[in-house]
Amino acid sequence: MTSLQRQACLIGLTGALVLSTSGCDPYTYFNVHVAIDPAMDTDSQVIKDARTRRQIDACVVYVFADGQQIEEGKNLKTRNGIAEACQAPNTPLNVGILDYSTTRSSGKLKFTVAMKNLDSDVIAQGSTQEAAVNPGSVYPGTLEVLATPCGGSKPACEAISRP
Amino acid sequence: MMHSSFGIRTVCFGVIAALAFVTAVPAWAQEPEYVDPTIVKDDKDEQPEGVKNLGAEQVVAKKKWEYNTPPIYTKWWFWVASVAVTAAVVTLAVIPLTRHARPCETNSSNSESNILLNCFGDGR
Repeated sequence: MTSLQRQACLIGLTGALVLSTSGCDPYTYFNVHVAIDPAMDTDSQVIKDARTRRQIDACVVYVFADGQQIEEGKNLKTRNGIAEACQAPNTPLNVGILDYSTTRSSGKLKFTVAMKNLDSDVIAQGSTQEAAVNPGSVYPGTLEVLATPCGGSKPACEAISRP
Repeated sequence: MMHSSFGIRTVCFGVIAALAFVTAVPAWAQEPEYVDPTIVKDDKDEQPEGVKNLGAEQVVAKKKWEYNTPPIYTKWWFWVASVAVTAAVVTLAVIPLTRHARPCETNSSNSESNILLNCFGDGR
């Protein structure tokens, strides 16, 4: 091996080391905005929907990867962890925005938020569209969850495990 | 959950291994082929070196190396490269386990007046 080859070898190895320590971020980040259907405003003329919103006492987020639940349900709280995001009778229409990270290298994630009453029955629910995992990046834009009341003329809430 | 970072680690390791292999291969390529001196080939009639003068006192000249060039492990750069590759592999294996996800944003002014909720997931 000539000295030139030796130098090339060392440079290549050094470069690989630098790349390995600075790049290859294994995380994909998702911003998820949670809101309640404006039809559930307490001033809504649809009295049933308004009543449903007043009953919301907890919001729980579930994460699914390719149809499989990968996170236990987490109660939505303010980022400082002090206050519950949803509390009867005044859960806001604009609940807030959450931040999620995953080390998955491929697949698609879906976020589902279940809104529960005091008896822990799901009375409203919404899901994001499926979002592709792309390690080392933030998913472009914000994923939207728009919770709507369960039952009635609207589609039934999906079956999800209790936290 | 670190289950899915295995693929990334494998790709990174593959890049390093390929670089090391491509640059190191010429060293082995220059090694001469070993020929056993006691073996007589069919196309030769002469006695092999190993059976000449069997009765005479043998003077065995000590060779420093069996080959024309010394083994690769006597080269300083071989050990440097080995240590570098080992360090790279260990680093790649450990970093995904210790690296945290980006910090959670705490300033709501960047989120269009939305209330900031849970910040969770892998690495948090």
